[in-house]
Amino acid sequence: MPFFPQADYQCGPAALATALSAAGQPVSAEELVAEVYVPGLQGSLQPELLAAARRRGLLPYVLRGSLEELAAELDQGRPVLVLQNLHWLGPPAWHYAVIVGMAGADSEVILRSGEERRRVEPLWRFLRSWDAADRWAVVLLEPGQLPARPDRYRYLRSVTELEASGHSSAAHAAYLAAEKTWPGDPVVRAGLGNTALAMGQWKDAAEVYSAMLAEDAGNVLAGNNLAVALVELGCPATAVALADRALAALGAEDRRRPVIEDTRSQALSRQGPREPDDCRSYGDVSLR
Amino acid sequence: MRQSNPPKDKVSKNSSLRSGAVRAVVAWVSVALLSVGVWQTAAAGIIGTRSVLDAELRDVRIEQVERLLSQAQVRDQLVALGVDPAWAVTRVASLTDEELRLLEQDLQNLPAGGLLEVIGIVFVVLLVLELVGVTDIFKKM
Repeated sequence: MPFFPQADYQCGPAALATALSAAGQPVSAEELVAEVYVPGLQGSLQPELLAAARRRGLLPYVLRGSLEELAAELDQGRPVLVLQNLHWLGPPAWHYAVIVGMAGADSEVILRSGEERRRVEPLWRFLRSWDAADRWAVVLLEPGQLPARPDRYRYLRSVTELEASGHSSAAHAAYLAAEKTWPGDPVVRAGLGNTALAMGQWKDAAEVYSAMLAEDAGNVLAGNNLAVALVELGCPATAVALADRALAALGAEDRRRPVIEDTRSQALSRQGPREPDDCRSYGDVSLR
Repeated sequence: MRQSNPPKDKVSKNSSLRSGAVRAVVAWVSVALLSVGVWQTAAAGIIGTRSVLDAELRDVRIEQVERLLSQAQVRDQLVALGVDPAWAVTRVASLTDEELRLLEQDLQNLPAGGLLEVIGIVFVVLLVLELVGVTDIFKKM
């Protein structure tokens, strides 16, 4: 695993470079300075480290903060980027480091820190500085990797954020991995459909939404987004019917109403004399 | 508030006000353009995955306006703290809504990890205290 010693105050770029490189995105600490360092603060902010990982299509997963969880990540060969507070009866002294292993029958942690490639710290001392930083720790997952101790909400929140930042194919891989761990999860299914839609895989997306509607005909997301996919598949009439049904089921005040009305008018504007018969394979499920 | 040098006469005041307004609009539009395609809080016509995760769905249009405002605010703060303006735009574009809100509220007081070596500083302080005679830690060692 490469190591990037830090220049003045630049432990953020240095630690991030180590973690990114371990996740298959080699980059130097110097290159990351412009991306995450804030000169006026003489440091780097946690959200900006996560954002830099997302920009590269990686999934930053913030751990819950147990030592057991941290050790489990190391067992999978993943380094853990941590925030430490090295204060000593004074103001906070924030520092980023990367834990790469444990030693001495788990009584010591091995860190890449500051200018040191390998720094062995007694566990108690590390814990004191880690506790003082609210036990903040993050692993950078490659698309499709799950954390060692996956927490559903934490994982899916991170994936939806990766998806929203435009990394559809990485998010799709993450949802596929999640489907194996939480089969039938409504967020995962919606995500699989929406990422397929974002990548222009209209048929795949339509199949996911159809399956969701087969289980719950009142699923508004599936109804609307299936309509969007069907317009692209040359089935605007079915799409209009889907949108109409979704609108009929919604209250007048529902905030999703404008989105669905939008979908409906898009579909209307694309309507031709007759749509192909295979449109009904989606319509049969949803328009019974 | 941004005009550090108050204009001397009425004409220049008007024109600088106008150019300030133009600048604000240009900045607004460029942020809006840049954020399109980078962050898809509400891709056209699609109900997003996040809405399922957070049971309550907020008005996507309001969210987008809020997001633009937060982005501009955080970007200005970063630039004021010495971040390259072009990079600041890219940087805020990759922050999530929650992260933006957090930075918007409290950027200056959030942990900014950057320490090189604090042990050395502590040692120097202890040594000074020792030499001045406030403490006598080292004699016992």
